[in-house]
Amino acid sequence: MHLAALHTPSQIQLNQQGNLKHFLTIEGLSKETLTKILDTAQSFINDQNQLITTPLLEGRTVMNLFFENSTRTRTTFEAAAKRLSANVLNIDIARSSTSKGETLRDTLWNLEAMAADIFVVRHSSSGAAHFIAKDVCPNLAIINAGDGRHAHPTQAMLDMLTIRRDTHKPFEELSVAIIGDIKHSRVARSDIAALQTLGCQDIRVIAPNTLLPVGFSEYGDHVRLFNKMDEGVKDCDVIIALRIQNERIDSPALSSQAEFYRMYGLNQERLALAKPDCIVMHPGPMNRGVEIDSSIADGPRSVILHQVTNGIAVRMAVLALTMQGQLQQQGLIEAIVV
Amino acid sequence: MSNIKLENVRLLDPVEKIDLITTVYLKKGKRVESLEHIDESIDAQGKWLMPTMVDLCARVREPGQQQHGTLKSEGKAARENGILHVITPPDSKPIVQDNGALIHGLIEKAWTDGQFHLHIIGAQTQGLMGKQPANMAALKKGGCTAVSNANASFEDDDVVIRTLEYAAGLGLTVVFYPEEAQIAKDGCVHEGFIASRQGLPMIPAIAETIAIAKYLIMIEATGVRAHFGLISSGKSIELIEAAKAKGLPVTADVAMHQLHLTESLIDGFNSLAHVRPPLRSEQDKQQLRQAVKSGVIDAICTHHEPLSSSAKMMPFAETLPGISAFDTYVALGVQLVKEGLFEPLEWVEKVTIAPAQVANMFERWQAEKGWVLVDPDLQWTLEKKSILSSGKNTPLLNQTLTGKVVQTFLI
Repeated sequence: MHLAALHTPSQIQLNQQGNLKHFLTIEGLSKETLTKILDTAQSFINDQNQLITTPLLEGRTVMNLFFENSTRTRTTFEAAAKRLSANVLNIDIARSSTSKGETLRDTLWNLEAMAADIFVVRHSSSGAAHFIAKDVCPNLAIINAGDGRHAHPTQAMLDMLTIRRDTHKPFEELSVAIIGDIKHSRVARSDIAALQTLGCQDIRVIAPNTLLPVGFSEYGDHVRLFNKMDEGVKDCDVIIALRIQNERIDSPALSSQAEFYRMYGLNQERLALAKPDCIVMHPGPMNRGVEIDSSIADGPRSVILHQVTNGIAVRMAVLALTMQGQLQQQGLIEAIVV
Repeated sequence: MSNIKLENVRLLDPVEKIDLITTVYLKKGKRVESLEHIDESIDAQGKWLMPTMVDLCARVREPGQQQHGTLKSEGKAARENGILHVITPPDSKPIVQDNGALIHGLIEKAWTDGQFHLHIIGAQTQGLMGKQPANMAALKKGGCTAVSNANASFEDDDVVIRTLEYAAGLGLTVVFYPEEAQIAKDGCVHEGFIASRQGLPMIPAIAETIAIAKYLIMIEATGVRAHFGLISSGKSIELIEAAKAKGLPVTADVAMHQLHLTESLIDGFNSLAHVRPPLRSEQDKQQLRQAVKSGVIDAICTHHEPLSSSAKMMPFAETLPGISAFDTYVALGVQLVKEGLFEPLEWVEKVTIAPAQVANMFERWQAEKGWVLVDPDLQWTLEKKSILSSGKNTPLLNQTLTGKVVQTFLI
C-alpha cells in the first residue's frame, strides 16, 4: 500500500497537450503557462493602451456564476467576455438557493444544459471551482473567480501583468511586499504562488501573527515574514496592500482599525522606505485610512487603476485560452491559436 | 457447517494468550478440544485465526439516516469483516436519550436484519443540546452502560460537570469525543500547511488537547469513569498517560485510519479524506501508533461512518465527514503487523479483548464470540463493488491492500 501515490497535485486544469482547459489555481502551473497568459493578455492591449475587441469567442456562452457577492470581478469578467464577442449571462445565485433543496450539482447541470461553454465561478467554499471542474462539469471551461480562502488566480495574474508592465523589470530582480490579512486572503495565496512560479526571489509577507497563515515556514525559501512594516517594505519594488475585511476588525485577530493603521497602514513615510520607483497595488475595494492612505491610493506610485484595465485583459486571456484548451481536449481544434 | 477442523492455522487467542500454529476444532463457532465428527476440514496454512472483534465506534445510520446505510447493510459488512459487536454513539435520528423501547427495538433489529450485536451509547444531555442531563437512569434501565454527547457541544462547562456527577451516581461511563467547539468552530481539516495552502477552515490539534485537559480535571473532581474516543493528536497522549498514572478511571481509543492516513490526503480537495476528527500530521500518526503499542491508548476502533455518494459531492467543507471503514479494518490491522508495530497477537488484542474490556463487556464478548480466519498475505484491490458497506466513501478506494477475512465461524 503506497499511500503517497494517493495524492498528486491536481493537474485537472490542463488538457492532454498540457494546455489550460480550466483555470482553478496558480499552484502546479509552469512558468511557461503563466507567461503565456501574460503574453496573451498583453496582446489584447493595443499601442494606445486600449483593450481591443476580437471575435475569438463568437457564438460561445460565458456564464458568470457568483455564489458570493462581487462587483468588480464580475464586471470585468463580463467586460472581458464581451470584448471576446461571447454571449454573457450573469447569474446571481445567492448561496441559500442551493440549500432550498437543489444541490449545487443539479443547479450546475441545469445551467450546463442551457448551452454554456464557460463557467466563471465565485464561491465562498474553498475548492468549489475545483469540485465543479473535477466532478460536475469537466467538459466546460471552469474559471475560478475566487473560492473561499483558497485562490483567486485571475487576480494574481492581473497583479503579475501589472507588475510586469509597470516595473519593467524581470520578476527575478524584484522585491515584492504583501501587507495585511494574509491568513484569510485568497489573493495573497495566489499572488505568492504566481510570484514564486515566475521566479521572484524576494517575497515579503507583512502582518501581525494573527493574520499570518499557518505553516508559514513551509511556503517556500523565497517567502519571508515580517511583523514590522518598516523592515518589510525597505527597498521594495512592489507593495501590494490587501483589504482588511470588516469581520476581521471585530475579531480576536485584531485590536482595532486604528491600531492596524498605525502598525500596518501604508503611508507616505513608509512608502519612502521602499525604492523610489516602487509601485503600489491593491486588489480593491480599498479601505482608505485603514490599510492605505488616500494620498498614496491616488498618488503617482499607485497603479491601482492599471490593475483594473489589466484585469480585463487577463480575464480575456484566460477565457480564450481555457475555451481553446477544452476544444483541443475534445479534438475540435488542433492547436491553441490565441 | 457446524463442526470444523482447521489444520496448520496460526491461532491468535488474546484471552489465553496463545500464538501457535496448531489444529483447531470449532463447534458452532466455539473452540473445542476435539470433535466426534468433522463436517469440514480446512488446511489453513499461512492463515490466522482470531476471535470476532468489538468496535468501539461505528455509525450504522439506522434509525434516521438510511440513505447512508442500514442495520442490514452495515451488519453484513461488520459481520463478514469479523466484527460481531458494534458500539454506536447516540446521535441517530431520533436521538437515543431515554426510550427503552427504541433501544431494545434497535438491538433486536440489528440482530434480525444484520446478525450483529449492537450496543448503543445513550445521550449525555437532552436532545444532545448540551443544556441538561438526559434521562440517564432510563437509559441505564434500557441497557446503556455509557453516555456521550457525541459530536455536539455543551452550552457551558457547568453542564459538563453536572452531567458527569449525574452519570457517576448511576455508575455510567461517559464517552468523550474531545473537541473544544469554541476553537474548532467551523473547521473541517487539520490545522497545518496543507490546509492553510488550500484555504480550508482548520481544526487545530489544541481543540482536542484543551478539551481533554479540561475534561480530565472534571473527571478527577467527579470521579466518573470516562473514555476518550477517536484520539487524533499526539499531544493528547501525554495528558491521558499522566491521568492514567495518577490513577484516574480513564481509557482511550483511536480510529484505525488515524494510524495510517494523514493530512496529506486532503490535497486536491479530496473529500473522501474529510473525517472528524481530521486526519492529522505524520508526527501525530507516529505518536498515536506508539501510544497504542504502549497501551496509553487502550484500543483501536473502526470509526466507520458510511455515507451516500452525494454526501461527498460538494465543495470540500460542505461535504459530510466520514470514512467507510469496516471493509478495510482487517487489512489496515494486518498492515500494522507487516510494518513491525505489532506482533499479530498484539494487534488482535487491540481489536478484541481490549475494546471489550473498555466497554465493560468482556464476559459477554467472551460468551458470544466466534472466530475469524484471516489471510494475512492476500492482496486485493478495494473496489466500490467489493465494499459490503453501503458507504463507498473511503480514501483507500482502488488501493491494493494486503490481508483479508476469508471466512468467519459464528454461532
